[in-house]
Amino acid sequence: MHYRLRPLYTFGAFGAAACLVLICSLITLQVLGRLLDKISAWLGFDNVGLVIPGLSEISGFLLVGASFLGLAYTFIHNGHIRVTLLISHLSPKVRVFVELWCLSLALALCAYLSVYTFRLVEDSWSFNEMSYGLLRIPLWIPQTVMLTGVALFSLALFETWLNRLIQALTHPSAFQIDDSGHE
Amino acid sequence: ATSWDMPTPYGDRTFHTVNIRAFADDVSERTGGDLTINVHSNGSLIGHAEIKNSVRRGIVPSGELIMSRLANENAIFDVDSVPFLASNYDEAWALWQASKEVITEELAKQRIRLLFAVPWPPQGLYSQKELNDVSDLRNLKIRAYNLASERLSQLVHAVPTQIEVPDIPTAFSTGRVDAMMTSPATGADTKAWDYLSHFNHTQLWIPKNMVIVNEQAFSRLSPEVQQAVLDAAEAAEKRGWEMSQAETQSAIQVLKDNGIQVSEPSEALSSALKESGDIMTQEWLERAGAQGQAILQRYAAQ
Amino acid sequence: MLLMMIVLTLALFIFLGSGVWVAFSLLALGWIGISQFTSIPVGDMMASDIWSASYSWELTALPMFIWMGEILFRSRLAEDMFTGLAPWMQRIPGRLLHTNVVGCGLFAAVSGSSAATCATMGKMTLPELTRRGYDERLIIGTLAGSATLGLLIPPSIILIVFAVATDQSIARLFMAGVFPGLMLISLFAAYLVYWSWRYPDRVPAADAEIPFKEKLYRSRRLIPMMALIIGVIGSIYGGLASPTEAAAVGVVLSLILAYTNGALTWQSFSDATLGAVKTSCMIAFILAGASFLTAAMGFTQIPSQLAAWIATYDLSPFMLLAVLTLFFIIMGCFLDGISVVVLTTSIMLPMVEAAGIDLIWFGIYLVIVVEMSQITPPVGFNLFVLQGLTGKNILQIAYAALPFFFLMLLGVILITLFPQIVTFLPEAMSNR
Ligand code: NA
Ligand code: NA
Repeated sequence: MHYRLRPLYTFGAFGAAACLVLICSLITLQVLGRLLDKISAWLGFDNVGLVIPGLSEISGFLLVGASFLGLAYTFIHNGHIRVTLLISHLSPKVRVFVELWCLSLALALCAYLSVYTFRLVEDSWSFNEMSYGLLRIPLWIPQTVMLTGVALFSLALFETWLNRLIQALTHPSAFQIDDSGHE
Repeated sequence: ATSWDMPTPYGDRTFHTVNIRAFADDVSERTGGDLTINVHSNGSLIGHAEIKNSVRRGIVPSGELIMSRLANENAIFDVDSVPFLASNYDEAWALWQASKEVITEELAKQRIRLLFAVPWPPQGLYSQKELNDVSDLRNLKIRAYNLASERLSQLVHAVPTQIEVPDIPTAFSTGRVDAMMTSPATGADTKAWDYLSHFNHTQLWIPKNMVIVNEQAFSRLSPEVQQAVLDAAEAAEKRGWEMSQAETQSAIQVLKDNGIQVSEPSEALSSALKESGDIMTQEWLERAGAQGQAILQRYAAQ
Repeated sequence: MLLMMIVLTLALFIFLGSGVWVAFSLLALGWIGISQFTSIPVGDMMASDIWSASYSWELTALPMFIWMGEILFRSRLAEDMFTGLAPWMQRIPGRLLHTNVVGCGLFAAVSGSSAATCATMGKMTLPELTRRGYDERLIIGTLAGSATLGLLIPPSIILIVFAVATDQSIARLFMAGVFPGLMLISLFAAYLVYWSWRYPDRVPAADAEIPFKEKLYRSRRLIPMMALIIGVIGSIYGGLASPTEAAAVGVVLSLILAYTNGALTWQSFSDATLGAVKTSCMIAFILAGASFLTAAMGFTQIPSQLAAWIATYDLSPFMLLAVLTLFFIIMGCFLDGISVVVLTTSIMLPMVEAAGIDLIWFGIYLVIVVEMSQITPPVGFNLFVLQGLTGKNILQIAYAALPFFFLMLLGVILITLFPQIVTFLPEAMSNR
């Protein structure tokens, strides 16, 4: 299917990938720091003490980016799992309406989640909520990343939903879908 | 009849949870079943990090959390984690009385009512070797889990190291960490003798858990039920402080029974650590501002 | 409560059956549970719960391991491993299928989760084994079953959750998991041997026998893989990395190996990373949905009331275990394993202790039963991962994994009859 906003979704996926790279780099740096300490202790020196303050907390927040920013991209590449055993045998004419039902429910839930995630961000913002760990990170920052991901996903769902709706209303019997889970 | 969900972060066997369950029973007895409280232990309903906000936003009417978790919001919440500001139960009680009003006011700004607070046993030093002097701490990798433990480690020239709770045994046995600051109760609960050998009853600080309710949910209760909750809370606080002291004794005994070397801090170690404590009290005052000043004045007056 | 259970079960089957994405089905179910049966503000709860479920430190290992699998898949490493192993496995019935079992067992010593084990091993072994003509159903089944070992063989996220919830020693529980893990590996391997003996025509023909020297020479291709495994496990036990951090070490080591192999190009790196994004987003979103459903179960108190109901019967230890096994299998169909443990321990523990059951033993028992839930439909994380990898339907995958479900049930019976399998090591440790 053709997505008008495909570059946007791909951009989201790059954001998610960047988060993965950052998590990995930070942890590697910490592990190298420990290696350095081992070596310097072995040579009889003081600890170098290279520690990344708040590593676990930062990684956790980066994980939010990695998990949410790629949701839309995953969706347009058929990456989300569903059970198609029963519906794969339906005729195109019926199937397009089943697809419409699935997309309507998903879109409704995703939009609902977006709205309430927005409320969460707003609340964290107005109460100036801070992270709990060694670093003082305002919670609205990582929460905005989550909101962005969920909103992108809602957009991708909406585009698909609109496409299916038009198909269902115009020529439902021409509907085709690949259930294999791969694009 | 009203029914409240109360998420708590700790397991069923932790004395805090035992006390809170007793509080819940007490409430339903005093109100003749008009208010029942369902305690969800272990973070099974809401994770520790989300409990305060969930109560503030009215997602759940009540909950429990450790007070110093809010230190990033306002330094007054970790007044109980300043080393040696209060290092026995009498001092801790006096500090709590001195800080209660300010903390209650601060929470009230978020429409949260503080019901009661119960201390953990005093924090001591666990290690794999004997600690006699502050020089023994040099280069030691000490687990830092909050600002106080991180700063204290820095001041004694140790290396503050971040280890998440579930990772503690592995971290000790593989040498990623050499020492940690926690209570005898936590050490006994997590069977610290599996991975370390010494406990120094340093009594660094005495952190507290608090039980909070959403003000709006509270105001919806009838005046009689409100009073019953407050009475039960007062009883729970009294009971909790006694449980905590008893827990300190029994946990230390458990540690000894399982072969951990328990020692009191030497004069040298104590005085060196107290010096760091004084520095940290000053630093805390800078962060806590006028509110902090007020607490310390009231504390000194007692 | 009965009404609530019927409504929710029906709703789940309608959502999943009509093709609604798994994560959205779980979210919808949680929404129905909270909005219809409690007075909790459901939208705020949903956002707050999904937020809190998504930033945990322990979870960061999952995308890292998935990424590692994607990198290895794009290097020649997996192929090399099989070329090196093949000559040695000619005479063992089942031949290279054992790599799934042993590979998962080894990988389980690195990873604490079953989904990560499944995704990483599957990415490497599925294409190779299929290409070599092994029975597809058996490949998938072996992988689904063996990957659950990630939970039992230390380190293990779920054993940590159990230890924290019940004040048991994490070190002892990890020790206790070792022999049962080896027992399950042996059971799975024995099944492969039996199967290959029973259906010799469905196992690809053996390669021509080659001389011993040649075998040794070909084994050099195992070196990179061994270096990777030793590097990752070594980083944990050498005190350089926590089990969570070891996942990142795995990524870096596989990048280095791919680079020395000449398989690392900008294209392959970016493909691997985006592939990891896709799989980990899929799993993370299902985990978020599962977390919200778990919260809904906590508010509606279905699992804890069911557990309390079992407690009223005052059963004998063996009967209690039989009933609990059934209870966990049914709950495990709908909830993920950790949720079942978290939601029921409060009620379960007094009852188990009253029956005189050792809690360390119970923890291991619980993990094996939870392992089973990873491969039972409709909610089974290994099934989801394998659907993502193969494009096959989860019911087909569940069917392929069924023999392994029964093997794990046999494992449960074995540790019940011979509790020493569990208790031997931790007891030896305390007598130290
Ligand atoms: Na494992
Ligand atoms: Na299942």
